[in-house]
Amino acid sequence: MTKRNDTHESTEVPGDEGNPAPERGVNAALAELAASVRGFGAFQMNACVRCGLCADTCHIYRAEPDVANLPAMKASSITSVFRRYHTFLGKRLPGLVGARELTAERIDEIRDVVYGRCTSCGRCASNCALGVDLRHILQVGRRMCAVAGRIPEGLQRTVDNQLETGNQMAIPQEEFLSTTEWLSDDLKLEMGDDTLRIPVDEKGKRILYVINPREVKFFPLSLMAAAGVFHAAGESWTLSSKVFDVTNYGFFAGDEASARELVRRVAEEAGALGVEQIILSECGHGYRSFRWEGPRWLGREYAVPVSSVVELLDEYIECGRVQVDREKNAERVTLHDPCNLVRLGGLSEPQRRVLRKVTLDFVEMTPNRENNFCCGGGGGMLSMSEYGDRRVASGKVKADQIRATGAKIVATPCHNCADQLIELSKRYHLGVEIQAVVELVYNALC
Amino acid sequence: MEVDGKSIEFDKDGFMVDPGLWDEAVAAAVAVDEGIDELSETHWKIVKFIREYWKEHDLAPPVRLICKDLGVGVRDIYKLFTSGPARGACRVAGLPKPDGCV
Amino acid sequence: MQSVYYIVLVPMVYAALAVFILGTLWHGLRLIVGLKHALRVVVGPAKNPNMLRAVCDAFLSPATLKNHPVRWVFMVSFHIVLFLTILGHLELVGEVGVMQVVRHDVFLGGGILGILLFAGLLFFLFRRFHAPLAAMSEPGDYYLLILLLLIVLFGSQLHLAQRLFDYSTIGVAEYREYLSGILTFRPALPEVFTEDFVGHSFLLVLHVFCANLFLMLFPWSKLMHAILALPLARLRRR
Repeated sequence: MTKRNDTHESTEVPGDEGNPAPERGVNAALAELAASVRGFGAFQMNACVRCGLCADTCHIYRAEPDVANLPAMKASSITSVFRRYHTFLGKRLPGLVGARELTAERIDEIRDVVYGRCTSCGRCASNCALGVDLRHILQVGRRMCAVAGRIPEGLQRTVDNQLETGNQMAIPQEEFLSTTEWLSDDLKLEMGDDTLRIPVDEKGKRILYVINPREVKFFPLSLMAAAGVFHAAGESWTLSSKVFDVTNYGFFAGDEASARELVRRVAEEAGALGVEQIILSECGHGYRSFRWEGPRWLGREYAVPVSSVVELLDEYIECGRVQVDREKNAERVTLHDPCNLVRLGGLSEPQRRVLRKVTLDFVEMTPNRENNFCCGGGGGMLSMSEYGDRRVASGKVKADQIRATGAKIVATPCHNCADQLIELSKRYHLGVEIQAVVELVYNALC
Repeated sequence: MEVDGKSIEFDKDGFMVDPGLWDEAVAAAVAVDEGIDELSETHWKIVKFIREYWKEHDLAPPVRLICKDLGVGVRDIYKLFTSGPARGACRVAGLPKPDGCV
Repeated sequence: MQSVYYIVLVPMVYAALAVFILGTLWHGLRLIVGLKHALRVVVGPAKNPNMLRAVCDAFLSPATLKNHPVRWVFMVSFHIVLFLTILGHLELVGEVGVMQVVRHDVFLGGGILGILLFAGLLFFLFRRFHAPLAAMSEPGDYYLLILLLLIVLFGSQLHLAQRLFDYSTIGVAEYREYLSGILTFRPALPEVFTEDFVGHSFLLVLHVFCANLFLMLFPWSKLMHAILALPLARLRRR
């Protein structure tokens, strides 16, 4: 609750309280831009030669070849402002180099681009002929909108939920406890083992498992499956009923003060429970933000190691801690690589090794791994209804990829992608089932 | 969309702009869009439960309550509503889109 | 007229070189200082962070080769030709023994390089008039290409005039006298450069004038990509 105020404070620029709100937003955004381009950031913004080769690296442009969706064009909504305030020619001859003044209207244009035409998937950046990090430039745009108080409503509500209730879906603690109990009961029946239970708030366990609240509220099968696999492996683990949310909507919003607070809570809870390791549930941006961005936001490394549950599953199967029978998943399975986990998180092989061991007919989609296309639901897109039509339209690229594999099941280690893929299956009549990797492992348990 | 002479507006996510206009005819129409041609008795039970819960709490019910109160198996929900409880059932029940990662 | 020639060929050349060198150095310094900051901004797993791969990324752009093989051939051959053309100018300063490993008349390529460059630049320019590039190009993008086209045009003319039309008054010996004078800070203009309406010295003046403009714009425009490509590739590989 207290940190909530932090984000508001950061939108204020000292000394101009008297200005009307839009102007204050512009000043705050310019200050954020100046801070972002200090040093090397300026080179990122200067280096694009507008060659246009990034056009078809972007799934949104592919689905809708409108120049407004072209990555370099999207970045230029921010770099044009940069040129106006931070370059020699832009200050003197703005018309020549396409330098533009920042106004309240332009902030809204930037907002439409950075939240509504980009999922921060980073595919353009990793395919840029020059190595310009367009994703980073667009993230600067998100930060500018955040300090100007122009975060889209749905996204902002989710951030507020997270800060105020501890999880993005505002699930009360009692509800969390009732759900884990209910799942324990179901799991006992399914696995035929009366000793089984889902441990909550237990101290001194080896692992703290942090999940996506969606697994409590709407899609509990993956949590159930994880509990089943942990039980089969004889793992010493626990959930926390206070801090169980791995997602970080502050990260999506570009609101670093909130993002830092969310990461801090998980790290602190791990310390309080005295675990040896933090395992993150299958969540793309949760992995990226907690594993990689978190230490930067906090300014220190975590006290215990952090990994994704797919790495743990890989370990279980490799060392024979769980026995699996691939015949139990006989249908054709393909894998969708979440951008934040694979391209930006650097984790591409464990999930593949696992799937090859637990399914009979595993096929790759093309392209895959670091060069995979975004599902269209990244970057917080799923929480912003105003861009729902664009989100579904941009998913066409993914839908075509899935259809080409002929798979019946799409596995994806990301709950956010899963939601988008479920909708794509419906809208594009793919007739596929979407499952988390852990569900397929649970299914294959002997 | 036109339902029984009423024009119903949906947001870009396919959720009702004005949940107050919901009635059974709207539910049936949205269900068709969900790929459910005819809502079964169990479908109706779930939809009405979600609707009532929402009226009372201004929130979508967690899947646990749907399953426990109605005696529906957790795995069955996803067969009844292939888009899941949030984008599937809540949409048919005429709720606004639940916040967050759904 | 003679004084205009002199200004373009001597003081302006020095000014252009000064702007080019100091501007690029200034950016270079900011780059080194900024790199520390960048390392804090770029987070994530390291990807084969060795220098060799970064160099390969910067000069060969394997991602583009994979996505657009045809355009990659255009892009890379254009840059190779550009590099060879710049290299060729060295022989106008003095004799460069290494370059005569393959025997050739000065200038390198017998006029082919200029024609290839011209064609490449025309291709880049026409691309900018087509969707989707037309909508995302800034006026400066067109002007820079036109400037480059003019430099190549006049440069080629200089070479072809001498080679094909036998304007032998300005030859390699004169260029060497002029350029080595510039580089040793003892600027001396061969007489033929400044004689009115003799030979083709006006082409030389136009060529040098445009090249001066180009050098002065270099540090302040997107031309800096030539310098930035390597550190950017290095950063991406981290």
